[in-house]
Amino acid sequence: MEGLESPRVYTIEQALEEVGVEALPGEKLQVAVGDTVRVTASIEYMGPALDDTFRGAIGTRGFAGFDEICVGQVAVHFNPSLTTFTPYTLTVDIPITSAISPGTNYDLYVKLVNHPGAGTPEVDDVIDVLGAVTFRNFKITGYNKV
Amino acid sequence: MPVVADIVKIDAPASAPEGEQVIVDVSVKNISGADKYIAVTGRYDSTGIPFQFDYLLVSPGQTVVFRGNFTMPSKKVRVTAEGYYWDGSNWVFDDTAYVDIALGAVAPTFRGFGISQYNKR
Repeated sequence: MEGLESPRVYTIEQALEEVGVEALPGEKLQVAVGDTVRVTASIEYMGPALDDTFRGAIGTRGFAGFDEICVGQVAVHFNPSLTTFTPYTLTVDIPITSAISPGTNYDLYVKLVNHPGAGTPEVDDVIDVLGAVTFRNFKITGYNKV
Repeated sequence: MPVVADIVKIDAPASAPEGEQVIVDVSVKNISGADKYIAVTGRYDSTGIPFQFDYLLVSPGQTVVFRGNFTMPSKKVRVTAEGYYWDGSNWVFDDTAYVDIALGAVAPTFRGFGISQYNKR
């Protein structure tokens, strides 16, 4: 049929690479070293033109605060909006580095570095970090003529 | 010197950010010895300010407040008020006063900050 592209064959890995694995707040996300977690946040702003840094971190929430282990940040700009709140969508990528140990129930939070009063939205116990791929007991168990 | 409609004070903020509703209270005292209809007009720079009352019947020695409001523009303004009294056939200009309002900064304000999703890329 003209006008129709031939279907492409994807491996599961390719499909995940292209569409990513998405989680809504509260849902678990499994990651491994080398992955990147893209965090999307919404916020509304009213005020003069403003520059700030949007920061996201994966780590653990403790008594002394949030222990940031993997971090990403990006410059953000808010246009002047003097009489009404203007909605924004902010996005930051957090690389999963070897600084984080394999484990479950890591926490995720974001903030505006220079305006802590905006809040520090956080979702707890949602990131599981998988261990490195590991093999064991690799050996020849037989050989036949076929 | 006024003979009837004495503007005794103008209450207004010293500064206001652009876009904010500025309330101006003009207090006028009837300094005559008879009941008088008193009116106030006002403007910021050359723009008229609407007031809550067109005019009021004021007793001798009584002070009344005319409240007006306007939206702060993007620059400092001078608010001028003028007091009038009715002499039976005309509104007679009697007094004027002014205050200056500086342009204030709008404080950055955020709301609704929340994580909407997170993806593995």
